[in-house]
This record gives sequence, structure tokens and C-alpha cells, in this order.
Amino acid sequence: MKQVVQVRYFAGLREKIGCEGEEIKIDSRQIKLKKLIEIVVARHPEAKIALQNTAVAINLEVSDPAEASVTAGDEVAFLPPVGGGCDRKDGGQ
Amino acid sequence: MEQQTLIKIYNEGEPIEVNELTEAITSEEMGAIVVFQGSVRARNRGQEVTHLSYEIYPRMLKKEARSIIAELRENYADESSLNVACGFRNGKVDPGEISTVIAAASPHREAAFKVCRQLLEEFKQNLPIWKKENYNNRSAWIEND
Repeated sequence: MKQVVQVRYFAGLREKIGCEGEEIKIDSRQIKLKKLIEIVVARHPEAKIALQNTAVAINLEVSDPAEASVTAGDEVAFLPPVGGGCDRKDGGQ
Repeated sequence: MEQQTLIKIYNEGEPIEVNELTEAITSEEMGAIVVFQGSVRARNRGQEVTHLSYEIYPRMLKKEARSIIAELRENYADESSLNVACGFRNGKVDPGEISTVIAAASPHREAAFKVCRQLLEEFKQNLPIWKKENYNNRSAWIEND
């Protein structure tokens, strides 16, 4: 059976990588999140720093790359820092 | 009493239906409804903004928003009911258009005001919404600071 993880990119990271997401094949049913990030970085070396410093969610749960594992079929999202409004000194919303 | 929670994402070109959101949380029990409407400024930090581009991770946004609302309800356990409705625009939004609506209803005004304000701050920090400001000849993703 094909073992894949669905990866998604957002905002500036999506623009840098040039796509909203992709399927990443994995060698076993489960791999460490850290390993998956290495695979993604190897595919997109131009986004290495951003990929390594971005929050990552597995199936909508923000996860710790040092601890978490990814299973075939999971959705892994790279989440750059969020926006929305500006600081209060500007009187923003 | 069942408490209402409504979270809606409006795609490009769809204005937020503020009345629809507030009606969804109105009932005879609710003595106060506080509505926050955030709209796009034509100028920000001294620059003319042509439009904003929002990007949302919809399923995660709904999950996170529900979790934040549930946590807030625990802090206001004295209120018999706390209804919340929120609307978020996705995609291109022009100056003057409403980009975000947060409406909170409770039996008493104090809780409604506080909940609305707290939700706004929590949402800004935690929801997967990205915002890009577009100017005449460039654009920039804006981060929370």
C-alpha cells in the first residue's frame, strides 16, 4: 500500500515553496516528525530556515517536532506565525 | 440550556452577514449582545493599502475557535448561557469591508462585553489566519506583534 503524508503550506511559506501542499511518500507506516521535516527541507532547500522554525500541526494539533510521530494518512501543516490586526499602539483592530 | 456557537468562514466576494450571525445567538434569555466588527483600513502605518488578502486553514480555525470559546465559557460559569457567533473573511478584502465579526450574547452585559473582547484577543493570537497587506507596488505578510 502506498504510504503517504499530506503536507500543507500557508501564507509566506506557501509562496516561497510555490504550492499549497503535496503528498510525501514515507518508507514506513510511521516516522518521526523531525524526519518528515528533513524530507520536506531536502525537497525545498530554499525554504529551509522557514520550515525549521515554523509551528507544525499534525491532524490539526500543533505538535513538538522533537517528540511527535507522523503516521501514513496524516495531514501535516506548516503554520507560519499568524497575522491579524496590528499592535495596539497603532490603534489597530 | 443549550449554548449556541456559530463559526462561519466567508470566501472571496462573500460579505459577512452580520445580521445572520447576531440573529443566531439572540434569544429571550439574552439581555445583552455585543458585536465587534473589524474592517479593513485604507491606510496602515503610513501606507496606502489597496486591499488585504486573508488566508485561512478552515478546519483548524473552527477547531481552535471552538476550543477557545469552550475555555472561556468555563470562566463565566456563573452566566446561565453564553452564545457566540463569529465570521471570518477569506481571500481578498477591500478597504471599508468587514473582515471579522465576533458577537457574544449573555443574559448580562458585563459578560457579553468581556467575552467579546477576550475572544478577539485570543483569536488574533491563536487562530490560523494569515493577513497580507497589499500596497500599490508591493505586499507584505503582517505578523502579530
